[in-house]
Amino acid sequence: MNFDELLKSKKTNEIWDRYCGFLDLSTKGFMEIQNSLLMEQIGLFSKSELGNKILNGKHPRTIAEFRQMCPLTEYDDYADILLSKDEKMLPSKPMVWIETTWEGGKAPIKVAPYSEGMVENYKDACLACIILASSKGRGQFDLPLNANFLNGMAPMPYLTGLLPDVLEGEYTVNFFPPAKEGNAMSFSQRNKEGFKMGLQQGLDLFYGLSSVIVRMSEQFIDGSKSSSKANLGQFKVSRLANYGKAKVIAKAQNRPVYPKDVFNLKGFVCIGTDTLHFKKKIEQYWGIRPLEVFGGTEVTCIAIESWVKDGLILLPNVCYYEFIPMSEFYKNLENPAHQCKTYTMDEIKEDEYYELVITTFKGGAFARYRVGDIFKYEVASEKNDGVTLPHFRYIDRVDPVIDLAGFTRITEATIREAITLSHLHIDAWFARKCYDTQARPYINLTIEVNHPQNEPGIDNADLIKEQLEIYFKYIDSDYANLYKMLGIEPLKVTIIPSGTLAKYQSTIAHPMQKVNPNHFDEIEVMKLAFGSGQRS
Amino acid sequence: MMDQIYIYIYWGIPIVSLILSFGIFVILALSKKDKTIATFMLMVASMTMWSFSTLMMKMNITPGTLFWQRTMVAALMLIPYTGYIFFTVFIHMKRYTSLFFWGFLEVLMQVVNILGYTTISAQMVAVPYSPFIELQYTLGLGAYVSYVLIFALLLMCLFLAQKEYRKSRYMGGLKNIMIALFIIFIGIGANLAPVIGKWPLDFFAGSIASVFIMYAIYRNRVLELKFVITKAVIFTMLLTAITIGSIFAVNALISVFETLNTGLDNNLFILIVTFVSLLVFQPLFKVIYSLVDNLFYKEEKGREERISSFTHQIANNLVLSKISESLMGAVADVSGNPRNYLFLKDAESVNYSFYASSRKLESVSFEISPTHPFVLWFNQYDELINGKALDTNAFFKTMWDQDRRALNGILFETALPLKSNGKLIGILLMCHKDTHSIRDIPHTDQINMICMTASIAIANAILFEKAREEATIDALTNTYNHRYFMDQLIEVTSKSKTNNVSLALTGIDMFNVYNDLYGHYAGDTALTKLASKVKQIVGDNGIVCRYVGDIFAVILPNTDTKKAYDLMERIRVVIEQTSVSAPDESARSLTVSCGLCTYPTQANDDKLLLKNAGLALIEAKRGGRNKTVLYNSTISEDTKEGIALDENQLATVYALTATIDAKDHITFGHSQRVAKYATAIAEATGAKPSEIEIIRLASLLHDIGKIGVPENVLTKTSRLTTEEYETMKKHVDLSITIIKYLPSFSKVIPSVIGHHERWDGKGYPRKIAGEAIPFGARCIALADAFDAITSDRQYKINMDTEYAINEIKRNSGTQFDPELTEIFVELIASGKLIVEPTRTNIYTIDSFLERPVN
Repeated sequence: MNFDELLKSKKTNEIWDRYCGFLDLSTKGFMEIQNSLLMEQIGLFSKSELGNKILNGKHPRTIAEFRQMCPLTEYDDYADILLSKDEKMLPSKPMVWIETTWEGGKAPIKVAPYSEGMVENYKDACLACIILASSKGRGQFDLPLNANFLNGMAPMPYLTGLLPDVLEGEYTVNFFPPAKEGNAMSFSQRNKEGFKMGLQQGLDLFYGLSSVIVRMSEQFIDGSKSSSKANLGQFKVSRLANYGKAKVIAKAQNRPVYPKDVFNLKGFVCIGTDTLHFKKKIEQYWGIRPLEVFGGTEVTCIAIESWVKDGLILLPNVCYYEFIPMSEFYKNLENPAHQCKTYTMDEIKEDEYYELVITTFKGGAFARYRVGDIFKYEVASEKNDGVTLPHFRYIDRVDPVIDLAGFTRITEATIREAITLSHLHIDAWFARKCYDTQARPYINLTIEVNHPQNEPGIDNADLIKEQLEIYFKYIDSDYANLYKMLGIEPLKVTIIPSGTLAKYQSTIAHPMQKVNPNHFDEIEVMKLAFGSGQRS
Repeated sequence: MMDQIYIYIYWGIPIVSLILSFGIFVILALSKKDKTIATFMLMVASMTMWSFSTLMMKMNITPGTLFWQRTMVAALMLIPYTGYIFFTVFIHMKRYTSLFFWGFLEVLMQVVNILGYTTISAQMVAVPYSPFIELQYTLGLGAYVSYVLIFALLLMCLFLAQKEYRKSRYMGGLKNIMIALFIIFIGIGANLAPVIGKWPLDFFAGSIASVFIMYAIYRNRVLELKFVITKAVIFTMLLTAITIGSIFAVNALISVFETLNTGLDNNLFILIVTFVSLLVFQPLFKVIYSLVDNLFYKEEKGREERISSFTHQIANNLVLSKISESLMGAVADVSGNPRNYLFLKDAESVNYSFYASSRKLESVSFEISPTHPFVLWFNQYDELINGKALDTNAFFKTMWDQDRRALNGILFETALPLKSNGKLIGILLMCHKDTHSIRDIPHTDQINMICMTASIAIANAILFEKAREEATIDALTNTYNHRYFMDQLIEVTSKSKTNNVSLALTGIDMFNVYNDLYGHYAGDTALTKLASKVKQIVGDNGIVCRYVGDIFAVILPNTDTKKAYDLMERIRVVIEQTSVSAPDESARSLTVSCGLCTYPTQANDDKLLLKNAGLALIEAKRGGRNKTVLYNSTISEDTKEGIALDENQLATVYALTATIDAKDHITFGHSQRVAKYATAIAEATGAKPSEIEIIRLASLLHDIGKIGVPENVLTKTSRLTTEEYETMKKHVDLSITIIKYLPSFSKVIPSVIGHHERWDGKGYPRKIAGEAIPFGARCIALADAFDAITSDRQYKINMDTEYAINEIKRNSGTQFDPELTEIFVELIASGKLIVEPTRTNIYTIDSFLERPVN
């Protein structure tokens, strides 16, 4: 029985057990699944040429041996084999190749092979997301057949683009816009068209980038404020009554019409690095708390929130999870030769921050792979869902990368290139990701300007910002969309006295990171620059 | 006539409606209740109350027409509301506010009814110019309001149903609910028109609607009818129907009788009719009884009988294959599912391997490992696993893809454990016939019971097989043992009558030498490997047994001489090319000789067959080994084991002895003297003549290997260097190498190879000690040393007999066997053994009294 049939037959319990049953696992049960599937993966991986390369010809027979013999890996370790897409070298035959951009990498893109088992897991994870997004309690979900589904995410070959394919034949939904047409549209067009269709025909499910959702919601609210006539044209006659009701409610509450007044959304699934900051707004606008999920090209979808939508819970059968504590992480940062000690799910401690390391199951290509994301293990007992598995909070990327609302990733190379092209005599700099009062992310670029003696130049922060933005937009097309689509001012420039960074650098043993530097370093620099720890 | 029809409809429909709705209520009451069933029961109860009150009203039963009329109205008003409750539950719709609102109105209208504003008056009055009575009533305002409410509720239900139906067209039974609602709507609506209202159309509609709803529930699999409709329910309903039918039939007959005006007494007629009815209905009832019994319980009875016959089949059965065959047959019959596979725990690999299938020619190739989630589950729980659980139970997320694929490949549906004493001994996998027949496998409870019964029988059979195996299998070679061989030989020859039975005795050539050279452990390894090879080649064509020591017997039923010869030749060639050493050792091979005899061509019974095959084997050995010899009449019983040398062979021995004498003139005559002393010792111990003969030959040949020792080392008169001594030591191995080429002399090898071993284990080449040194070798060692000491020496002092005896005694228990030393000394001292005169030869004492090896 596929999902449609189960739904038709109202087999609520069976649906819940099949897709969300993992929430009932104990940590012991979770680890049993992890260990069993890792043993399967060790067998597949060590027999492959890729595994042979990573394991340096060794053949681990136990999990302990595997963790000892296999080093922690990064994409660089796989690039040669994976980018050549040589299927014979992989642990299992890929069903599909998923791509993403490789910021700061030696190639423009990263690719990851997905075996049949991985695709199957991804399908289950997607359905679990949809079920949990529409759930109000354990087993209490409300999903219609032929749901209207706004899919605001990137098409294939990105991971999010796999969703229509995996749902096909399993759960029949009306994608807004339809998958085929949507694939031909730009990201912005796709979202706008989807939203328009939603207004006309009603929406049941929404899957999107949290930052984009917030922006679209705000545009809708602004639109409803400015002209009611313009909005009316968007509705079918059958939905006009809805809009009328929405108007009445909004007027009664003396506020503009929110999407929640018009739509009766069943479930909201959102992703993106800054989701935590956007969740409240989304709930306020749509009247439904969005479900956060975590996934990635290399890992697939590995974490979903429960119906309480407050903390990510890892899926037991997708990857084997190891965690690098921050103490080990910093040791490795200072000394790249340091082999980080890792811990498993049953060994980690509450309230601690960890970098995630995964080994893909089901013949996946990645072994002890440093995903580059930091999670916090939150106190499980505070949750209301009764799920005894650890709940995680996604913190951020560990890479020297600034991820802006999941929309674009600014690397050290991007900033350096923009500075070089601008000829602004910026001598030294560092950048940090910050959030404005509306919880929107931006880059705070701290610079030192040092004009040559015979070449006076600009040293006004706003002007420098404007100049730099020209080149940021030139280098990174998504940067230009940040304001246009999300209303985000992505850059702020702070000027510090020339020579401050050099002075500070001379007092410390380690090099100061240019992107997202250690907070302690930054405070010290600011003290040196302005005599206090506060940044401008 | 119309009047008659009217009467039947007038009474019949309410009665049938009452029976129907009450029957449905009973069925529901007996079923496993959930929310849907419970709410539907409310609706059916309202309908039953409606039919019942109408019937009471028509019969004008106390407390009177008005009371029953009001009760009927109350029930009528309840039907849409209880229907609405049922409907919201059926489609999983939460409409609490709406339910409360309508509930409130319902209560209000019921109060209005009780207060008498719905029906003001009601009475049964005689119809003019007709023998019938009919209901006459006056409705109040409340009645019209009630009707509005009833229709509004029904319309709302219909609207909701239509909406839900559009949304989920598939949903089993929703269509039927819609039809039922529509029927009720029409039925009640018809009451508004007095012309139609006088007919009991509303009851009829209500009953039909119940049937539709019942079917809807069944379609939605909420209710498993077979489990609900018990025998008692069926009989109660049938009995009621027959009784009512009888009353109607009798009444009709009486009416007809009365119109005929026959003049017969009415009471007498009624008596006759009743009697006839009883006569007719009694057998009719019996027939119906048996029909119902067959219809509902035939299958069940069949299954019970099958289980009983299975239990009977396996009782006292200790043959695993028979038990599993019975088990798979019973499982297939009871479940009606032909694709079932039995996996049993393999004692050697610890995996659960496929053992039997319900379809004889079907098998599966995968195994179930001890870490398979099924095994882990059954080790913890006794409950079966169904296919759905693999997706819905997180426990099975541990399953590997290859295992999942294997299960998907066989269209797995249900797994049941076979446990004995709490230990999982097997797993039964039940699978779908094909992809079109995917459904739950029925009667798993009964199959579970079968498995439990089978578990005990299988565990016993395994124990028995193990015990039997231990009694009939040779533990080392894993072939059948001597006892089994003898039994089988008798059985096969006695059963074969005119068919050929060939018996091959396969002996390993010079296996004792191999044992002596490489030790018994290596010998055991070789035996095991050879046995395995023989078994592999013979396969199902025959029975391989370890007859004795290094001789295997192969019984080949239905095999003539030619086929048997070809097979044994293949075995011989394969073995010759097979390394029998352990994997970590250098490759070594052995050869086999085979004696073959065929029944009844060359032997007329099992005893002769065995005897002749043995003679053929001896002939093969004698004829140079590594060959297969067919028995024929020219092979006589004179062919015996032992060494019976002809003149030519003896000449060979003396020629070889002379060769060494010629090369090493210092030791001239040494071999003959050693032969004399050694045989004397052997004789004194009471050894058999054949043994003494072997010792004599071994003594003559014991130094034959010295041919290969360089002359300068051999004739060196001074102390040998370590290297020279090592070279000298090699003469033992060289002796063996030479003797191996003389098939007739193989028996002397143990004595030759061991003549430099020491009693304390410090000799060479194998450093064996005590009685592990062959007896002949110990005799030769004594004789050899004695002769060496007593021989003349160039440049050295001559040692006399006394000195030699003292030296021998001094080394007794270290170099020499103390018992044999005593015998030897006694032989010399008593003069029974005369020491040969010495020659002018050059010897050193050291070269003959072995140097202890550090």
